[in-house]
Amino acid sequence: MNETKRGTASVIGMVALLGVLVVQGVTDFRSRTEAFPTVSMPSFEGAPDTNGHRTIERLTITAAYEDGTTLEPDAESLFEQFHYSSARYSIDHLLKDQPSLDAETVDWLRAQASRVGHGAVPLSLTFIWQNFDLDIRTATGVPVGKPIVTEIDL
Amino acid sequence: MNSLADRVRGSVEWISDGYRPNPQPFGVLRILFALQVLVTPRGVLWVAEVPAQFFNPPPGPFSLLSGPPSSEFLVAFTIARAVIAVWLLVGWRTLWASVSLSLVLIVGSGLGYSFSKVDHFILYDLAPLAFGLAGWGAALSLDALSHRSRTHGYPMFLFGIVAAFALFTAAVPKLRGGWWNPAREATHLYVSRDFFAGPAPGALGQFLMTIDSAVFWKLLDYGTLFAEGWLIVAVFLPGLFRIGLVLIV
Repeated sequence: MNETKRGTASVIGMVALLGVLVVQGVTDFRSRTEAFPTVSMPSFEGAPDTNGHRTIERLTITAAYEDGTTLEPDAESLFEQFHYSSARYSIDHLLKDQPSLDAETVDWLRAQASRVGHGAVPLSLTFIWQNFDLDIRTATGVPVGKPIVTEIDL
Repeated sequence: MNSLADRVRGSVEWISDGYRPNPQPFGVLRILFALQVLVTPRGVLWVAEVPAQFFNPPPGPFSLLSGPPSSEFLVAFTIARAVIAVWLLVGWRTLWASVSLSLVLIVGSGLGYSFSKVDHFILYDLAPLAFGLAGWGAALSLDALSHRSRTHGYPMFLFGIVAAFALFTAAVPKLRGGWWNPAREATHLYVSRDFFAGPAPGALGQFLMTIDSAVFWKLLDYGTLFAEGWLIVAVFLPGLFRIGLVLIV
């Protein structure tokens, strides 16, 4: 290939790559769920209002045990077997909206509740999603609206 | 007088030349990359150990899977990935080893991301492909013993465009979301949110929360916007792009 043809191919390659990136970027941008594989980075899109407030959601997990004790493990501890970043998202996906859980899932949740309880016999896991009006300067929040609650008998 | 086409061709050639890697350190990078994949690979065995009800692949080729793969498949996958890493390490037919490694890294990521969360390591997954095309097997490799080869800047330039675009996709939503507004402290929000709702921030986050200065927080916002957004321009000037990468790290 002579110099001119090679140079032309390089320019076409660059333009084609830019075109592909833009098309996949726009498609991904418009999609409600992030696709893979795509070339993108996390957006952290939101910002608080000018008074330093924003509504955020907090998940609280409560494990209750046969001996009367309770624990509040965080999502990453309870779902330790998952990749760290998937724990919270997997909980939201499956457990937030009136879940119908199969025996395998309930058995697994029982095992995780027992593990974080250091072998105590678990009775239930309760997942509470509550919106809060967060004050970013004090890192404190006031509840907003009704929570979503999922209780799973173990 | 040169035509516009000639000038564009000349510019691409000049830019590519600016990205041409030095073969020796590039070979060291290949060896280190292969060792990293070999010694501290991303785990995938957990995919078959958690309940299948949690399987929720993202849109794309992984959504064709009806459920998580078997543990036998994942063990075989893990072994294959290690074999390819050794293949890359020794640098025999390095381009094919590089292409193969990118493929298995993308498959591994896709399986891991099939539980409701896509992480953003696509540049890491694509790096062997780009670096293989750029000739990271040109030194310190079996290929280098059998024949002379050289490195190429053009694939590095294209990979620079991919990296710059990826970061640009992070900057645009921030602009849309109000990060530009001098009265809205966005970085402050995310540090504060982690304090309140988890996951618990580390020592840096705890230190940052002691800083009560709107100027400081806005400088973080604007610094982030700039660092993520300007690379799409800087990539056409190799020296500037390198400075941009140092800034973003």
